[in-house]
Amino acid sequence: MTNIQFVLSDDINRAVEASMGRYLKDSRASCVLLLSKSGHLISQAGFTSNFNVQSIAALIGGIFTSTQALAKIVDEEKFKVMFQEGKNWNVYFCLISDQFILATVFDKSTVVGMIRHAAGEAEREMSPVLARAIVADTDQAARDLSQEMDQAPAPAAGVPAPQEEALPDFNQAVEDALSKLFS
Amino acid sequence: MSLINYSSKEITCKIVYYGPGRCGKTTNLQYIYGKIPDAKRSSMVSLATEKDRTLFFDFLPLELGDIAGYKTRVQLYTVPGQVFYNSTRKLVLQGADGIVFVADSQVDLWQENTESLANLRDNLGILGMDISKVPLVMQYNKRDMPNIVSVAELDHALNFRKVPHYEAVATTGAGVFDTLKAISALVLQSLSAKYRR
Repeated sequence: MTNIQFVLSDDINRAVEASMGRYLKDSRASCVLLLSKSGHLISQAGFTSNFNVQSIAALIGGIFTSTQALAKIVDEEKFKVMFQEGKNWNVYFCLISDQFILATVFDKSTVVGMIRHAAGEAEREMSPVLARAIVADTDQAARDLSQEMDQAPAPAAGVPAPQEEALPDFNQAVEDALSKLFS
Repeated sequence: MSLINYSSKEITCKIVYYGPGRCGKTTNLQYIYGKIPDAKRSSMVSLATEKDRTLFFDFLPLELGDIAGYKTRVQLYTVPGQVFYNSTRKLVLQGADGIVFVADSQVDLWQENTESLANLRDNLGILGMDISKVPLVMQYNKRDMPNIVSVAELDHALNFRKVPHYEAVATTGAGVFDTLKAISALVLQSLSAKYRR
Protein backbone atom coordinates (compact mmCIF):
# COMPACT_ATOMS: atom_id res chain seq x y z
CA MET A 1 0.00 0.00 0.00
CA THR A 2 1.30 3.40 -0.92
CA ASN A 3 1.07 6.30 1.47
CA ILE A 4 -0.84 9.12 -0.13
CA GLN A 5 -1.64 12.78 0.29
CA PHE A 6 -4.68 14.83 -0.57
CA VAL A 7 -4.25 18.06 -2.44
CA LEU A 8 -7.32 20.20 -2.94
CA SER A 9 -7.28 22.81 -5.65
CA ASP A 10 -9.87 25.57 -6.09
CA ASP A 11 -11.97 23.67 -8.59
CA ILE A 12 -12.01 20.50 -6.48
CA ASN A 13 -13.03 22.53 -3.44
CA ARG A 14 -15.84 24.24 -5.27
CA ALA A 15 -17.17 20.98 -6.68
CA VAL A 16 -17.01 19.24 -3.29
CA GLU A 17 -18.74 22.10 -1.49
CA ALA A 18 -21.52 22.19 -4.08
CA SER A 19 -22.06 18.44 -3.75
CA MET A 20 -22.03 18.62 0.04
CA GLY A 21 -24.64 21.39 -0.04
CA ARG A 22 -26.90 19.41 -2.37
CA TYR A 23 -26.51 16.28 -0.28
CA LEU A 24 -27.36 18.13 2.91
CA LYS A 25 -30.52 19.49 1.34
CA ASP A 26 -31.61 16.24 -0.32
CA SER A 27 -31.01 14.11 2.76
CA ARG A 28 -32.46 16.62 5.24
CA ALA A 29 -29.57 15.79 7.57
CA SER A 30 -28.35 18.14 10.29
CA CYS A 31 -24.74 18.13 9.24
CA VAL A 32 -22.39 16.35 6.90
CA LEU A 33 -18.64 15.83 7.23
CA LEU A 34 -16.28 14.71 4.54
CA LEU A 35 -12.99 13.36 5.83
CA SER A 36 -10.08 11.19 4.84
CA LYS A 37 -9.78 7.68 6.26
CA SER A 38 -6.94 8.91 8.42
CA GLY A 39 -9.25 11.42 10.11
CA HIS A 40 -8.44 14.68 8.31
CA LEU A 41 -11.51 16.85 7.92
CA ILE A 42 -11.89 17.97 4.30
CA SER A 43 -15.25 19.67 4.13
CA GLN A 44 -18.31 20.23 6.28
CA ALA A 45 -21.86 21.43 5.76
CA GLY A 46 -24.79 22.11 8.03
CA PHE A 47 -24.94 22.87 11.73
CA THR A 48 -21.49 21.81 12.88
CA SER A 49 -20.84 24.59 15.37
CA ASN A 50 -22.13 22.51 18.30
CA PHE A 51 -19.62 19.78 17.63
CA ASN A 52 -15.86 19.53 17.94
CA VAL A 53 -15.49 18.46 14.34
CA GLN A 54 -11.74 17.79 14.47
CA SER A 55 -12.18 15.23 17.24
CA ILE A 56 -15.22 13.76 15.53
CA ALA A 57 -13.23 13.36 12.32
CA ALA A 58 -10.36 11.60 14.14
CA LEU A 59 -12.75 9.24 15.89
CA ILE A 60 -14.68 8.44 12.73
CA GLY A 61 -11.38 7.78 10.97
CA GLY A 62 -10.47 5.36 13.76
CA ILE A 63 -13.84 3.64 13.72
CA PHE A 64 -13.82 3.22 9.97
CA THR A 65 -10.24 2.03 9.75
CA SER A 66 -10.72 -0.57 12.47
CA THR A 67 -13.93 -1.70 10.78
CA GLN A 68 -12.04 -2.30 7.54
CA ALA A 69 -9.52 -4.41 9.47
CA LEU A 70 -12.46 -6.37 10.86
CA ALA A 71 -13.81 -6.85 7.34
CA LYS A 72 -10.55 -8.42 6.25
CA ILE A 73 -10.61 -10.83 9.20
CA VAL A 74 -14.05 -12.10 8.20
CA ASP A 75 -12.88 -12.38 4.60
CA GLU A 76 -14.87 -9.42 3.34
CA GLU A 77 -13.18 -6.93 1.03
CA LYS A 78 -14.53 -3.92 2.89
CA PHE A 79 -17.51 -2.63 4.84
CA LYS A 80 -18.71 0.31 2.84
CA VAL A 81 -21.46 1.59 5.08
CA MET A 82 -21.95 1.95 8.83
CA PHE A 83 -24.88 3.23 10.81
CA GLN A 84 -24.96 4.27 14.48
CA GLU A 85 -28.37 4.82 16.03
CA GLY A 86 -28.86 6.91 19.16
CA LYS A 87 -31.82 8.23 21.13
CA ASN A 88 -31.74 11.68 19.51
CA TRP A 89 -28.99 11.57 16.95
CA ASN A 90 -27.90 9.06 14.37
CA VAL A 91 -24.75 8.88 12.29
CA TYR A 92 -24.48 7.28 8.87
CA PHE A 93 -21.04 6.66 7.37
CA CYS A 94 -20.17 5.62 3.85
CA LEU A 95 -16.90 5.16 2.03
CA ILE A 96 -16.17 7.19 -1.10
CA SER A 97 -13.41 6.29 -3.55
CA ASP A 98 -11.91 3.97 -0.93
CA GLN A 99 -10.10 6.91 0.70
CA PHE A 100 -12.80 9.25 1.96
CA ILE A 101 -15.63 8.96 4.46
CA LEU A 102 -18.90 10.80 4.20
CA ALA A 103 -20.36 11.07 7.71
CA THR A 104 -23.92 12.25 8.09
CA VAL A 105 -25.42 13.33 11.41
CA PHE A 106 -29.21 13.39 11.47
CA ASP A 107 -32.16 13.43 13.83
CA LYS A 108 -35.78 12.35 13.62
CA SER A 109 -36.61 14.87 10.91
CA THR A 110 -35.39 12.39 8.30
CA VAL A 111 -35.00 8.64 7.97
CA VAL A 112 -32.05 6.42 7.28
CA GLY A 113 -33.53 5.28 3.95
CA MET A 114 -33.53 8.81 2.64
CA ILE A 115 -30.00 9.36 3.91
CA ARG A 116 -28.86 6.19 2.24
CA HIS A 117 -30.43 7.11 -1.09
CA ALA A 118 -29.06 10.66 -1.05
CA ALA A 119 -25.62 9.43 0.04
CA GLY A 120 -25.51 7.12 -2.97
CA GLU A 121 -26.16 10.09 -5.24
CA ALA A 122 -23.55 12.17 -3.45
CA GLU A 123 -21.03 9.38 -3.75
CA ARG A 124 -21.54 9.09 -7.48
CA GLU A 125 -21.14 12.84 -7.81
CA MET A 126 -18.10 13.26 -5.57
CA SER A 127 -16.10 10.12 -6.44
CA PRO A 128 -14.55 11.39 -9.69
CA VAL A 129 -13.86 14.81 -8.18
CA LEU A 130 -12.18 13.44 -5.06
CA ALA A 131 -10.15 10.94 -7.06
CA ARG A 132 -8.35 13.95 -8.55
CA ALA A 133 -7.25 15.08 -5.08
CA ILE A 134 -5.29 11.88 -4.34
CA VAL A 135 -1.54 12.10 -4.77
CA ALA A 136 0.89 9.25 -4.13
CA ASP A 137 3.18 10.24 -1.28
CA THR A 138 6.44 8.66 -2.24
CA ASP A 139 9.69 10.31 -3.17
CA GLN A 140 9.47 8.81 -6.61
CA ALA A 141 5.94 10.09 -7.03
CA ALA A 142 7.04 13.53 -5.87
CA ARG A 143 9.90 13.54 -8.34
CA ASP A 144 7.59 12.47 -11.12
CA LEU A 145 5.15 15.16 -10.17
CA SER A 146 7.90 17.75 -9.98
CA GLN A 147 9.12 16.81 -13.46
CA GLU A 148 5.63 17.07 -14.82
CA MET A 149 5.33 20.51 -13.30
CA ASP A 150 8.56 21.72 -14.85
CA GLN A 151 8.09 20.21 -18.26
CA ALA A 152 4.41 20.09 -18.95
CA PRO A 153 2.12 23.07 -19.29
CA ALA A 154 -0.64 21.23 -17.42
CA PRO A 155 -0.84 18.07 -15.35
CA ALA A 156 -1.95 14.92 -17.09
CA ALA A 157 -5.58 13.90 -16.89
CA GLY A 158 -6.43 12.42 -13.52
CA VAL A 159 -3.53 14.11 -11.78
CA PRO A 160 -4.50 17.00 -9.52
CA ALA A 161 -3.04 20.45 -10.00
CA PRO A 162 -1.62 21.06 -6.55
CA GLN A 163 1.24 23.26 -7.67
CA GLU A 164 -0.76 26.37 -8.33
CA GLU A 165 1.76 28.03 -6.09
CA ALA A 166 4.75 26.77 -4.15
CA LEU A 167 4.51 26.05 -0.46
CA PRO A 168 6.55 28.42 1.68
CA ASP A 169 9.70 27.60 3.62
CA PHE A 170 8.71 26.49 7.10
CA ASN A 171 12.02 26.57 8.99
CA GLN A 172 11.74 29.54 11.33
CA ALA A 173 7.99 29.83 10.87
CA VAL A 174 7.29 26.62 12.81
CA GLU A 175 9.39 27.77 15.74
CA ASP A 176 7.60 31.12 15.81
CA ALA A 177 4.12 29.59 15.49
CA LEU A 178 4.65 27.16 18.35
CA SER A 179 6.13 29.86 20.56
CA LYS A 180 3.15 32.07 19.81
CA LEU A 181 0.61 29.30 20.43
CA PHE A 182 2.00 28.36 23.82
CA SER A 183 2.98 31.80 25.03
CA MET B 1 -1.38 11.44 4.82
CA SER B 2 -1.30 15.18 4.77
CA LEU B 3 -4.08 17.34 3.45
CA ILE B 4 -3.12 20.42 1.48
CA ASN B 5 -5.91 22.78 0.56
CA TYR B 6 -4.63 25.40 -1.85
CA SER B 7 -8.02 27.01 -2.03
CA SER B 8 -8.44 27.79 1.67
CA LYS B 9 -4.66 27.79 2.24
CA GLU B 10 -4.75 25.08 4.86
CA ILE B 11 -2.33 22.30 5.65
CA THR B 12 -3.15 19.40 7.96
CA CYS B 13 -0.55 16.81 8.93
CA LYS B 14 -0.52 13.72 11.12
CA ILE B 15 2.26 13.07 13.60
CA VAL B 16 2.37 9.77 15.49
CA TYR B 17 4.12 9.19 18.82
CA TYR B 18 5.44 5.63 18.79
CA GLY B 19 7.29 3.59 21.40
CA PRO B 20 7.04 0.78 23.95
CA GLY B 21 4.30 0.57 26.56
CA ARG B 22 4.50 3.11 29.40
CA CYS B 23 7.33 5.06 27.75
CA GLY B 24 5.43 8.35 28.03
CA LYS B 25 3.70 8.87 24.69
CA THR B 26 0.38 9.84 26.23
CA THR B 27 2.17 11.94 28.84
CA ASN B 28 3.76 13.97 26.04
CA LEU B 29 0.34 14.78 24.62
CA GLN B 30 -1.16 15.46 28.03
CA TYR B 31 1.60 17.94 28.81
CA ILE B 32 1.14 19.73 25.49
CA TYR B 33 -2.63 19.80 26.00
CA GLY B 34 -2.21 21.25 29.47
CA LYS B 35 -0.12 24.11 28.11
CA ILE B 36 -2.51 25.20 25.37
CA PRO B 37 -4.10 28.51 26.38
CA ASP B 38 -7.81 28.10 27.23
CA ALA B 39 -8.91 30.28 24.33
CA LYS B 40 -7.21 27.99 21.84
CA ARG B 41 -7.87 24.67 23.55
CA SER B 42 -10.27 22.20 21.93
CA SER B 43 -10.21 18.70 23.34
CA MET B 44 -7.91 15.75 23.64
CA VAL B 45 -9.42 12.39 22.84
CA SER B 46 -8.10 9.38 24.73
CA LEU B 47 -9.38 5.91 24.02
CA ALA B 48 -7.95 4.14 27.05
CA THR B 49 -8.61 1.06 29.15
CA GLU B 50 -9.99 1.30 32.68
CA LYS B 51 -6.41 1.36 33.90
CA ASP B 52 -5.58 4.34 31.69
CA ARG B 53 -3.51 2.34 29.25
CA THR B 54 -4.02 3.49 25.67
CA LEU B 55 -6.44 1.10 23.97
CA PHE B 56 -6.71 2.62 20.51
CA PHE B 57 -5.12 6.04 20.34
CA ASP B 58 -4.85 9.48 21.90
CA PHE B 59 -5.62 12.39 19.65
CA LEU B 60 -4.70 16.03 20.09
CA PRO B 61 -5.35 18.58 17.34
CA LEU B 62 -3.07 21.61 17.39
CA GLU B 63 -3.89 24.75 15.47
CA LEU B 64 -0.48 26.25 14.85
CA GLY B 65 -2.02 29.24 13.18
CA ASP B 66 -0.70 31.04 10.18
CA ILE B 67 2.65 29.75 8.96
CA ALA B 68 3.87 31.70 5.98
CA GLY B 69 0.35 32.26 4.72
CA TYR B 70 -1.01 28.78 5.42
CA LYS B 71 -3.37 27.91 8.26
CA THR B 72 -1.46 24.99 9.65
CA ARG B 73 -2.97 22.22 11.70
CA VAL B 74 -0.96 19.40 13.27
CA GLN B 75 -2.77 16.33 14.54
CA LEU B 76 -0.92 14.40 17.21
CA TYR B 77 -1.66 10.72 17.77
CA THR B 78 -0.20 8.09 20.06
CA VAL B 79 -0.27 4.37 19.44
CA PRO B 80 -0.98 1.78 22.13
CA GLY B 81 2.43 0.59 23.28
CA GLN B 82 1.50 -2.81 24.62
CA VAL B 83 2.85 -5.63 22.46
CA PHE B 84 -0.48 -7.36 21.81
CA TYR B 85 -2.05 -4.24 20.27
CA ASN B 86 0.02 -4.40 17.12
CA SER B 87 -2.92 -4.49 14.75
CA THR B 88 -4.20 -1.27 16.34
CA ARG B 89 -0.76 0.32 16.09
CA LYS B 90 -0.74 -0.30 12.36
CA LEU B 91 -4.14 1.36 11.97
CA VAL B 92 -3.01 4.49 13.80
CA LEU B 93 0.30 4.59 11.95
CA GLN B 94 -1.48 4.59 8.61
CA GLY B 95 -1.19 7.97 6.97
CA ALA B 96 1.46 9.32 9.35
CA ASP B 97 3.44 12.27 7.97
CA GLY B 98 5.99 12.16 10.77
CA ILE B 99 6.93 9.99 13.74
CA VAL B 100 8.30 10.67 17.19
CA PHE B 101 9.90 7.56 18.61
CA VAL B 102 9.69 7.81 22.38
CA ALA B 103 12.22 5.55 24.10
CA ASP B 104 12.19 4.75 27.81
CA SER B 105 15.65 5.54 29.17
CA GLN B 106 15.50 3.00 31.99
CA VAL B 107 18.03 0.18 31.81
CA ASP B 108 15.34 -2.47 32.32
CA LEU B 109 13.43 -1.22 29.28
CA TRP B 110 16.34 -1.57 26.84
CA GLN B 111 14.89 -4.59 25.08
CA GLU B 112 11.41 -3.07 24.85
CA ASN B 113 12.87 -0.04 23.10
CA THR B 114 14.73 -2.04 20.49
CA GLU B 115 11.74 -4.33 19.92
CA SER B 116 9.43 -1.37 19.52
CA LEU B 117 11.75 0.25 16.98
CA ALA B 118 11.90 -3.00 15.02
CA ASN B 119 8.13 -3.18 15.23
CA LEU B 120 7.90 0.36 13.86
CA ARG B 121 10.13 -0.57 10.95
CA ASP B 122 8.01 -3.66 10.21
CA ASN B 123 4.71 -1.83 10.43
CA LEU B 124 5.88 1.01 8.23
CA GLY B 125 7.06 -1.55 5.70
CA ILE B 126 3.64 -3.19 5.68
CA LEU B 127 2.09 0.23 5.07
CA GLY B 128 4.44 0.88 2.16
CA MET B 129 6.51 3.46 4.03
CA ASP B 130 10.26 3.51 4.53
CA ILE B 131 11.62 4.11 8.02
CA SER B 132 14.80 5.51 6.51
CA LYS B 133 12.86 8.27 4.76
CA VAL B 134 9.89 9.22 6.90
CA PRO B 135 10.36 12.41 9.00
CA LEU B 136 11.50 11.05 12.38
CA VAL B 137 12.63 12.43 15.73
CA MET B 138 13.91 10.42 18.70
CA GLN B 139 12.95 11.31 22.25
CA TYR B 140 14.80 9.70 25.16
CA ASN B 141 12.26 10.02 27.92
CA LYS B 142 12.37 9.49 31.70
CA ARG B 143 15.81 11.06 32.12
CA ASP B 144 14.88 11.73 35.75
CA MET B 145 14.74 8.05 36.66
CA PRO B 146 17.57 6.58 38.77
CA ASN B 147 18.79 3.70 36.65
CA ILE B 148 19.04 4.93 33.09
CA VAL B 149 21.04 4.24 29.96
CA SER B 150 23.31 7.02 28.73
CA VAL B 151 22.14 9.13 25.81
CA ALA B 152 25.15 8.01 23.79
CA GLU B 153 24.21 4.37 24.23
CA LEU B 154 20.56 4.99 23.38
CA ASP B 155 21.58 6.97 20.34
CA HIS B 156 23.95 4.25 19.21
CA ALA B 157 21.32 1.54 19.61
CA LEU B 158 18.23 3.32 18.32
CA ASN B 159 19.13 6.33 16.24
CA PHE B 160 20.44 4.58 13.15
CA ARG B 161 19.49 7.55 10.95
CA LYS B 162 21.15 10.13 13.20
CA VAL B 163 17.95 12.15 13.26
CA PRO B 164 17.46 14.89 15.88
CA HIS B 165 17.19 13.44 19.39
CA TYR B 166 16.00 15.03 22.60
CA GLU B 167 16.28 14.12 26.26
CA ALA B 168 12.96 14.43 28.01
CA VAL B 169 11.06 14.16 31.25
CA ALA B 170 7.52 14.23 29.86
CA THR B 171 5.92 14.49 33.30
CA THR B 172 7.58 17.88 33.85
CA GLY B 173 7.58 18.90 30.19
CA ALA B 174 11.33 18.90 29.76
CA GLY B 175 12.12 18.21 26.12
CA VAL B 176 8.46 17.86 25.13
CA PHE B 177 8.23 21.07 23.13
CA ASP B 178 11.68 20.68 21.63
CA THR B 179 10.54 17.33 20.28
CA LEU B 180 7.26 18.75 18.98
CA LYS B 181 8.98 21.68 17.29
CA ALA B 182 11.53 19.44 15.63
CA ILE B 183 9.04 16.94 14.21
CA SER B 184 6.60 19.67 13.11
CA ALA B 185 9.36 21.47 11.25
CA LEU B 186 10.61 18.26 9.66
CA VAL B 187 7.14 17.32 8.44
CA LEU B 188 6.37 20.74 7.01
CA GLN B 189 9.81 21.00 5.43
CA SER B 190 9.30 17.60 3.88
CA LEU B 191 6.03 18.76 2.35
CA SER B 192 7.60 22.00 1.26
CA ALA B 193 10.46 20.19 -0.47
CA LYS B 194 8.09 17.88 -2.29
CA TYR B 195 5.82 20.57 -3.58
CA ARG B 196 8.23 23.42 -4.23
CA ARG B 197 8.58 24.46 -7.82
